[in-house]
Amino acid sequence: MKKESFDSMDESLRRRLDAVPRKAVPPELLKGFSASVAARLEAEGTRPARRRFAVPALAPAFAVLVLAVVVVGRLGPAARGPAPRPPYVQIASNPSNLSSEIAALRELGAWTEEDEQSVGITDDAALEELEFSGLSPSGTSEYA
Amino acid sequence: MRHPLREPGMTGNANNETDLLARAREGDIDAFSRLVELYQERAIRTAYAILGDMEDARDQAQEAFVKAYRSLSDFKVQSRFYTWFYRILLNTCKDHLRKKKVRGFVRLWTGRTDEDEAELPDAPDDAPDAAETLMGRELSAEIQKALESLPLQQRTAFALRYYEGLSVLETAESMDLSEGAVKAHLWQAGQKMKKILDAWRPDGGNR
Repeated sequence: MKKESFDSMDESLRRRLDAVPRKAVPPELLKGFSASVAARLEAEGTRPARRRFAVPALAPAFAVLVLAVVVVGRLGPAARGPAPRPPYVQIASNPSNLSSEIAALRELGAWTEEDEQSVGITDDAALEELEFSGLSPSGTSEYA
Repeated sequence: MRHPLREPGMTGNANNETDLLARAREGDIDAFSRLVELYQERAIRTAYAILGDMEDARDQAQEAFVKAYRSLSDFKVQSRFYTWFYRILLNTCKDHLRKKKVRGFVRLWTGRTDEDEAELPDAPDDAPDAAETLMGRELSAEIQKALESLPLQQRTAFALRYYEGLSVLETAESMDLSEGAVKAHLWQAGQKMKKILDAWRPDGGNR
């Protein structure tokens, strides 16, 4: 595409389309439009959100961390070396903490339905099942 | 050429807009409402060009204004409000189209139809003469039909550039694309529209 070609087409279209009347917005749609926006904002009690630090930047990292922990939790004990477990593994490998971690991420808006679907957690029952899989055959947590 | 800040009633509003924005950022809903009034018609028209339905356009424009208010802290004072707002509006329309698609699939599965999709009466157009208005409306409808058949990016670029009168740079900013990408979209959309304009005959049809 040559620059001249684009410019001439652009100019010609602008001229021709300017002459075409556009469908106007029916006045009944405009009536009370801004008032409804204001009413919604007042009802929600919303204020322009203040910029939050750390949370948006750290949220994806937390999400990755939780996923990593899920994967580690699913591996057998042999797959894990004797090295001491970092605190986050201890926290997230505990079923009740895993739920609360995900709940916290949900609150931050970092854990979405897309995340759930990508890891196959579609509801709380699936989460419970996932948590159950973190238990040893004897029924006690591997890290307990 | 139409331009958001150069249309009648908008001139000399740049300072006013800055003031309204500053107040809105502090939580002044009245100030934000004034800002909404400045842009509401343009917002609905742009949404209509993308969605092809006036009521949907109104609802999504309203949604976009609410989202814009919530995110005012993200707005950089040195930026242009309308390019920032259009970005929110475009994303809102895009989300709506995605949801509509899903709902369409669900309806297909369940065999349900929307019974409340009443058409709004057509609003009068700008043309002064009745015959001209009719011809203009026909062509306008023809263009809108063609617009709806375009891919979303082309449709959006076309609407912002030729309907809203944004520059290529402003269109690029609103769409979060490079100028080159916008030109490519406009080029493709423009070729199709030119064919329609060239072939259009006022006596009711194409050549």
